[in-house]
Amino acid sequence: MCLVEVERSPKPVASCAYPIMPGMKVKTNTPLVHKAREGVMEFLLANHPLDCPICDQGGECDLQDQSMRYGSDRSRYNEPAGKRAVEDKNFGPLVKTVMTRCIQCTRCVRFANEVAGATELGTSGRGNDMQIGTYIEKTISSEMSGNIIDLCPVGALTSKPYQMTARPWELKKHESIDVTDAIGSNIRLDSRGVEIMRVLPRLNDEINEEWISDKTRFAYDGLKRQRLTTPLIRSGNKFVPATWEQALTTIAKEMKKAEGNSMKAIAGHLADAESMVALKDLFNRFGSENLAIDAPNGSKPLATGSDFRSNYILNSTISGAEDADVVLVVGSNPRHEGPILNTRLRKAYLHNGQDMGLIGESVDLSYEYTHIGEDSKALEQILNGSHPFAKKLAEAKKPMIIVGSGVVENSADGEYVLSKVAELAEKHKDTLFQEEWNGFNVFQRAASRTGALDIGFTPSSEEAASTSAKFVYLLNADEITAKDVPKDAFVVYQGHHGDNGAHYADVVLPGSAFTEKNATYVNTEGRIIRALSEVAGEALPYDDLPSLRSRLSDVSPSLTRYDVVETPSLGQLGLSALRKNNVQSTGAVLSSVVKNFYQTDPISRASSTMAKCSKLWVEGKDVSDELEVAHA
Amino acid sequence: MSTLGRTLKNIMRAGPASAWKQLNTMGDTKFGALIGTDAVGNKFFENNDEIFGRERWVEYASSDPDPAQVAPDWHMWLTKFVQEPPTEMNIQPKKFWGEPTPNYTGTRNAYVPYNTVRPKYNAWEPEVKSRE
Repeated sequence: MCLVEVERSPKPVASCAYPIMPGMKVKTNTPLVHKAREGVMEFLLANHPLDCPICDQGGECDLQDQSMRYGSDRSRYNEPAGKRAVEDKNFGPLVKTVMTRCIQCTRCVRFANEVAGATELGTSGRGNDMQIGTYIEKTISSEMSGNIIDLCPVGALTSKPYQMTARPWELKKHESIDVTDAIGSNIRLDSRGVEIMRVLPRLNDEINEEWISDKTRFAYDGLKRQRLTTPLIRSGNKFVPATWEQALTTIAKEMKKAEGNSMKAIAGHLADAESMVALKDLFNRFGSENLAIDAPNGSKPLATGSDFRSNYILNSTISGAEDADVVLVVGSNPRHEGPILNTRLRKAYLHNGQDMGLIGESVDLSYEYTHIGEDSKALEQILNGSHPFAKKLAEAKKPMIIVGSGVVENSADGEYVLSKVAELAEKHKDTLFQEEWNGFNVFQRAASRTGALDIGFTPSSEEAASTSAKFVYLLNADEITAKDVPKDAFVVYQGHHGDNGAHYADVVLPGSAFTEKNATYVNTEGRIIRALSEVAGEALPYDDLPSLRSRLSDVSPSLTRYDVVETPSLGQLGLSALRKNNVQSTGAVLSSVVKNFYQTDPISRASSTMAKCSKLWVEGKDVSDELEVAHA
Repeated sequence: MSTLGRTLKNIMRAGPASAWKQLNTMGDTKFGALIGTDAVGNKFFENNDEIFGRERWVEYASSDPDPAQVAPDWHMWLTKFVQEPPTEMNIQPKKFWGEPTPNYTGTRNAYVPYNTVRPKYNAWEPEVKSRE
């Protein structure tokens, strides 16, 4: 289809494969070009079914567009044997295949092999018998598999959850940011009425390029299930629907009873910066410093601290990860904690010969790496040079150390590991800290976490953190367990899904999910806290989003500088603050914190698509595959 | 379409007070024989000199007139379903006829067909778990 006319060339030239030369005169819109393309189009359509009216790709199909532009107005097709027909493949609960529509461009094969690292996808047969498939009956178990839907120029690979639900021209497009991991992939939400029909990636070369993970793409149906719709007040063993007024006065009464640090606030993975800063201000006004993040270590001052910004962010940036030549990952599984970063690392492995060493649980990262060890002892081996990888790290020109958020938030050894990493960074400071390069990274996995630390949503001291809580405010905190909630405390849960957190609450306040809030990942829930503050008698000084945002920028100026990566200074100094001599290792294994990639937050846990994925790819069971009747 | 002459003539015949009321409710002046009055006090008139289709009309008793306030039997006469007015028809009301229903449109009693659309989202079924 890319045939063009080149001056003084006897035949049309395939522009995608022809070397370009100075002085060449290329014509793209001449009768010769049209005639040549019409010919190619005829060959493509010879074996392509004419089922556009029932095809999910209809309206956004490359072949449809091309045939409208270059195709002939009539067919010369009169083969008595009929068109080629190919059996459909089972690619799992995410990708629907109609292989008869395939025009064998092999984009999906190239993506699966080169980007996603799912080498099982390939072609078999030749010529007219060529087929795309997995050779033996198998589903594609890659967390990036949804992208082949976008890549397919025809309707051969389409989205299974989206099948027969909407047409592209009836959808309203909203640009947004993903919150299922800390990458913040740029996405586009396509909605019809009040419903989100699908999620597509947006191009951003700094972050997600043009890919998004399957969780980002397919968890949207979770937004329609298990929602909190009305304030609930617990009476005995059940929740009773209440009015906002009742709920807020009940909370305010309990709030006035509790004093100082016995009021505890926990910010979860999906909490937005606005509501966190409003909640922090409210609690500070009541004299409480007992703020925590929703993680096992979240109630103590964190190992990274929140004083130096460079100590808890990905300093090398996501696109910068490609430039590193040696990467040491400590206690993280980037494939599950942020698949986008993992594809970057895979890209660097394939094209730049990047070396990777991993300390932690041995996992399949879709590329080769050196597994150094499972616990902090391996880090000592790197430090004293007894492991061969230490040499690689020493010789590296642009080394990169990635410490997983699990080390900081979940592991018992967090302080020790970070102190050792700081020591290691000190040893390689010439290469690790260069002009325009900071090789020390903490890789967060929760969308809200960096914001929480920027705001300072952590306990300010051991003393504040150890106060037993009488009043607990859970802001989107859904990773908590029954143990984290004191029995006699009054618990308020604010969030959008009836998940772990809401079960333990005394009062449940419904809020908006990220797709329903104002464009950026922010807003309305700050207003609930504002309303609460007035009832409780300590009015917060902001009424609307702009004034709340200006408070946000007072607390941390970087929070309102959108679209820009703020590079913190003092990277090295900040890191040296983590060096401690008095901490001991417990020798615990740095295990992966994401056990089930497909269900990590309230939205994906409520999603039936994600439930199918985890049943198939995590538990290894079969899932029912029939077309779902237009789901609620 | 009314002419100035006809309007003035009808104002003279109907009297200024009822002509003013007619102009406010019907937007026209009319004069005719009073054929009858129904149970709620609506007055029914007939003038066969009017142009076709405008010979019979009603002047509502209510200050908030609505066609549904016309009793069914008078409605028959008004729409020329029958020639003679109900006063001359000797109608024997049947028990099962019941009372005529007023027009509920715009009120809470208005008819709304039940919704066949599935709910767009499902609410959480609240469940309490015990803390440890």
